[in-house]
Amino acid sequence: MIFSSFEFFVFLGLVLAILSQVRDEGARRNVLLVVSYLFYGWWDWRFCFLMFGTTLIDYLVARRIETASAPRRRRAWLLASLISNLGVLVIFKYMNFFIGSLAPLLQSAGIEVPHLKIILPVGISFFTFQSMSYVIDVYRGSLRATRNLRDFTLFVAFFPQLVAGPIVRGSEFLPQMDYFHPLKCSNLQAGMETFIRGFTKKALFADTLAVYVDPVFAHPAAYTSLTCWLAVTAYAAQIYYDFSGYTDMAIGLGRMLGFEFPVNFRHPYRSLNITEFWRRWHITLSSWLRDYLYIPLGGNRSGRARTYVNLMATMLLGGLWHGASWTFVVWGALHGVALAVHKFFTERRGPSRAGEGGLPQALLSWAGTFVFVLITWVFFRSSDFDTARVMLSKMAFFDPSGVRWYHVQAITVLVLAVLLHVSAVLRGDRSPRLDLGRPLAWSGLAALLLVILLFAPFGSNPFIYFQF
Amino acid sequence: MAPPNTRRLIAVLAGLVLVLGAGEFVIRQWLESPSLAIPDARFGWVLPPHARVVHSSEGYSVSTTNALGLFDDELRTPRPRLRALLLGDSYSEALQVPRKQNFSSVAERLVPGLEVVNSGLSGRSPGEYADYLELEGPRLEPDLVIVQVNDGDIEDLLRWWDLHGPRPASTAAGDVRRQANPRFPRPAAMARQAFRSSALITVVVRRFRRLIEDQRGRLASRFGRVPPAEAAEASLAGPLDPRLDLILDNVMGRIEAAGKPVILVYIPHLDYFAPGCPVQLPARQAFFRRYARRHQLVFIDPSDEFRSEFERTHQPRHGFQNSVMGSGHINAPGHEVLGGLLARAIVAETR
Repeated sequence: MIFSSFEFFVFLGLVLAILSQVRDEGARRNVLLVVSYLFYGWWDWRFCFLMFGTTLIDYLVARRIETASAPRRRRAWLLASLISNLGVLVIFKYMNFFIGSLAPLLQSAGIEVPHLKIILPVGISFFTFQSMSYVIDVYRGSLRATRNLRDFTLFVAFFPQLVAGPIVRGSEFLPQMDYFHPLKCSNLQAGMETFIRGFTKKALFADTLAVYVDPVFAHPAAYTSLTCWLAVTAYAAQIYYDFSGYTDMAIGLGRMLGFEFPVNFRHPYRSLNITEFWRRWHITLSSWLRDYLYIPLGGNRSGRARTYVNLMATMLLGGLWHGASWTFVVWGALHGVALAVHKFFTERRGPSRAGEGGLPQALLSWAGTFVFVLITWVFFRSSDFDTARVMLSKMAFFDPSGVRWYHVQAITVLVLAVLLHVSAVLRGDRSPRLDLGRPLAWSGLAALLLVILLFAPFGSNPFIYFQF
Repeated sequence: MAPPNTRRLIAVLAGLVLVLGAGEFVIRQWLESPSLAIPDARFGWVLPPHARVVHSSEGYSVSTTNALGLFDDELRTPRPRLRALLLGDSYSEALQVPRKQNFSSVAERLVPGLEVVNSGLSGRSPGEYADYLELEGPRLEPDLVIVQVNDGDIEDLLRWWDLHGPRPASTAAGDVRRQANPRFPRPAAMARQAFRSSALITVVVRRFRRLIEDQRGRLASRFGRVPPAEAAEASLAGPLDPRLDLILDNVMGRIEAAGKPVILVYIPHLDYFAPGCPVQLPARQAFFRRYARRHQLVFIDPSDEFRSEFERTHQPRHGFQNSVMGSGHINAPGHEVLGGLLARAIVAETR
């Protein structure tokens, strides 16, 4: 069920109506759990069992870890959880990727290579990471294992952030269960405002850009260099508005129901270097990777060379997390190299002070970072290396032959995106707010809905991050 | 002094009215026109004379209908040396390009003394072309009839046939005139009229209809059925209904019964980005070509010209900067090519 679809609005209306009638706190949690599983089962009910299976294992393992006193036993239980979570990921997400990657080797040895018909469960990367982080937190002693299976199941399956994040940790979600009150008008209003912002990003910005991006990436050789540049820039905006739109909708839904989710984006394209970019882009994933992968690998405590290796390993796995394809691995590797290079120069030169070098240097840093991010998006978006190669060669060598397509709506959205980012810089990262408490805001809302109705392309456009 | 809540409500309502008013103005002026179709006993619906139409969903044009309710100049007086009647759908109507750039205007420019009466309207099908010729032909007195067809006419012909069945030549007028104008209860009719005169409501209703269609498809797919849009797409590439020869014979027979030379113009869709730039639905192209050959009609098919122009300039002859290049309706360079082919055919036919 896509947040921007008609059936989701019906679903949400029913959920809010039921919750408003239920007075008992336990019953409200039960309702949320049931509707969360209904939400997931709407896509494919069979995978509800898979999700519940991993939930149950992690719930039991976390309790075992807490009660076990011997470090070796605790470690063994942690290992069991990691194997079960990563095993599910490997089987459902990466099995065909591994088989396909090994195919040439196996075929040369005369082994027939099968292609398994495995359906990728929606949101598997998100809920396994979320569940895994809970067990690791319990192992580290930074979180107490919950004794309530229902609460833990709801934490894993909570429908607003189930399929595409933000990745919420147990330490952020479970304590909120203690303050889970009936629906409040103030929460509903604040949540609605955030949800509308996300819906606008998705329906008006991301979906409009998709109309332009998809045909160009399908046949990059047929278009002019300028068209390819424009399409890659449009994709950069599309993926940002698609994902941050989803996140806003998830945060808004959580708020309507009385939960606070962490922020996932802070205007990433205003970053002046790649490290800053990763502090602003998909923050819950990058902080997850930092806390549960980079730091356990040794982080920056084991010497300079080891730090770079750790960075590379983290980003390679981060790339692979996005999808079972070598293009994602290359995307992650490029970011890993860039982060290592940036770290190397920062350490040699020392951290730069704010305003150092003035506006020209800031502009140069911004442009360098932005172009680098654009180039890496080519790998992220391309279905294979051949597409990426053609796209990059079109971008690198000015080639005026080809279809000239300067999509009016895409250019308009890009101009708006630039203005919104500039306004964010001027307003200290704050996004424009629709305060429904003011009468004028209703005119703004009506105008916004009118613009969406007029210009948003209709059709089933799933969120890009659903496939991860 | 009104209580604060009442003032708040008034402020909200005033703001909403202002936004809706501004929306209506902007849409009407620059984006889309209100629904102009008038129910008509003869053709189902017609357009009013001298109506301003803004089209922006694909290409852009602001156009006005003539006294006959057609997207064309007024009939020339005195009657020109050669008058052709173009029967077609949205490809002839060509709201995507300025009127002077559509293929009928291009042909008029290239053939001195030629007037093409462009009766093309969106949604018309060949069955209705025959009706139009039988009803308006005596008044327009064309020397030549141009029938424009496209791949979508296959479904249109079948639908039309299922609705009307075989109709012998020159009975359409009497047949359809017996149908009464659709009548609505008075308040409903008034409300409907009010809604139809608003560009904003027209656009909103149109979008909601599409939203509902999309939702139906999504639900069908969710419950294991093939969504209607996918089923329609699958049927495009499938074999043609065997009744089609009979249906086209009947419909075109009525057009040929007017006793004027007939030129058949086929509008192809090309897969511009596939190797060799093939026609998307070759079975449909062959169907219309076969008919023209059987009846010794002049057949215009710009596929080869579109292909060679694409190879030369890399610009597809379908699509616009505000839609998807390579798909949809024909753009201005495409109309230029088609107009040139039509002009040559007219000269050859009337020599």
